[in-house]
Amino acid sequence: MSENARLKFYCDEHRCISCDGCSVACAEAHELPAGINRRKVITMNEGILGLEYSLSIACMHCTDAPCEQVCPTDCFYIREDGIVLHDKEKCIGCAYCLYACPFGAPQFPSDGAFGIKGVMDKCTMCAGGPEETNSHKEREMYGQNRISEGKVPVCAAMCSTKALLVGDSAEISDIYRERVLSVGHGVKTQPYGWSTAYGSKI
Amino acid sequence: MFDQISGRGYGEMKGEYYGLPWPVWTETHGGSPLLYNINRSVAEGGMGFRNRFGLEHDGQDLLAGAGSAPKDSANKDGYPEITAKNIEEVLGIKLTADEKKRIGKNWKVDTSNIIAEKCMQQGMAPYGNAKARAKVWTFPDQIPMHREPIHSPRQDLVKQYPTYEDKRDHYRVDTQYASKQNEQDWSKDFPINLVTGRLVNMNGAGMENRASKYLAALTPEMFCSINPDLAGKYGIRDGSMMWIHSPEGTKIKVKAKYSFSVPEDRIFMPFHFAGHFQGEDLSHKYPKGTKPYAVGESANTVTNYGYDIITQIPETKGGLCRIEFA
Repeated sequence: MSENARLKFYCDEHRCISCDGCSVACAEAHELPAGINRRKVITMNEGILGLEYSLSIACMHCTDAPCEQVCPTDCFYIREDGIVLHDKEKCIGCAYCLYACPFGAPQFPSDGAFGIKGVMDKCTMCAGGPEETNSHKEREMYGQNRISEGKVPVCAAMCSTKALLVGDSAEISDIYRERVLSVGHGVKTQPYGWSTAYGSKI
Repeated sequence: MFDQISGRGYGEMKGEYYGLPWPVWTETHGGSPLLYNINRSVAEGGMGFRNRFGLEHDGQDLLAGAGSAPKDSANKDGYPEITAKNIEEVLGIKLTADEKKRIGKNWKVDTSNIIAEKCMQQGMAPYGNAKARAKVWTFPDQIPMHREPIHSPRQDLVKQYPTYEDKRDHYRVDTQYASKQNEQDWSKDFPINLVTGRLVNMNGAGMENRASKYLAALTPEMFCSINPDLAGKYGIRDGSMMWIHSPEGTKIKVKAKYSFSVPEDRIFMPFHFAGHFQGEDLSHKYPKGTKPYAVGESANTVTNYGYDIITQIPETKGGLCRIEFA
């Protein structure tokens, strides 16, 4: 990883088989409460021939993150490697970030007697939060901190077709560029047998 | 260390295959990744088809044809599986008295592994080199052919492709085929195809998976995938409840889920759910603390009569049903 790397997710729609392995792995790893979907698999045009595709969506960790700009309590901060995190102790649960987010990433627990919105929860790219790294408190509030242990975020680690990629944006784009350039050149860029089974869309 | 496509090792792992795929003939053999590949020697993972169905059937030689042995084979043609009796003749070698004493009866039970070791030296597969068979002479249909399901939506196809005769004592059960198929024109009262199957998040029967919070959340309740064009004819809205009646006289009440992945002549249901029975919630009967997060009607309440002629596996994909708005 280069010194000025920015970490990004990329989901290859030609590979995603909507198995939900990523979203279940995420929920399981961070022990999320029911109804909190840090990551979600969306299928578009289900069952319509030639138009159906699936994508795995979570926080995209924007460079110019709109959530950070609109937050009235300024609870967001962007790490040097581009991961967008927030401080749950500053968050007031106003959901302004949900208005601003183009991906519907911010999640709000709705427990309690009146179904009130709790403080916001979202994908941390498995990098925890502002609490002491790998402390019990960080684990409880933000889930696992795999990045600090040099591990890949659990969703991408789980992806069986390698549709979901995560890492230095330059490397991610290199991998995708290689996949695109290899199409039609007899190079295996897809899971084995894919083009035979599903046609050679890409 | 291993090529990602072929699984072949390189560098330190040269000569090995990733995961040591079966059969690994000897302790130094690297494994055989493909079921049939005569372009590689047996020692390097190549192989022909196993001599599995005898040497001859109906006057047909079942050994592989001339010149179709894997690369570098001492015997270029077909040969039978190797036994203690035929090893000298088939491999064209002489065993020492000690080897003759230690060798097992055939390659399957040869704990001395002398058969496999000798075969590797000759580039031959211990289980022989024979023809594959496309004709299974122990089955009622020696070559697979189409037969209409017992409950077929098409009477013309029933006449053209009838099912089997009834089978007495089929694993101790007298099993109906033709008599059931011809009992009546089932499609008159039950005009819609009924298909059941698996959801990817509920990998097995669903019992464990429905007890997992995160897996159950993906499909929290029993549903029936139905094409909007079919649902519209019955006044069934997306998300409304519907009854499904089967020729067995049973019925289930499930939630309709509009989907274009099913055509308008059929409905699809997952088979993982349980806890409701014919519209009644019986989930209070789960022992305390064992009720899964997701409960619902079992699709198998309405799957139709019908069993496989060989294995007696029940027919769960080729049935009929009648639907109505609930």
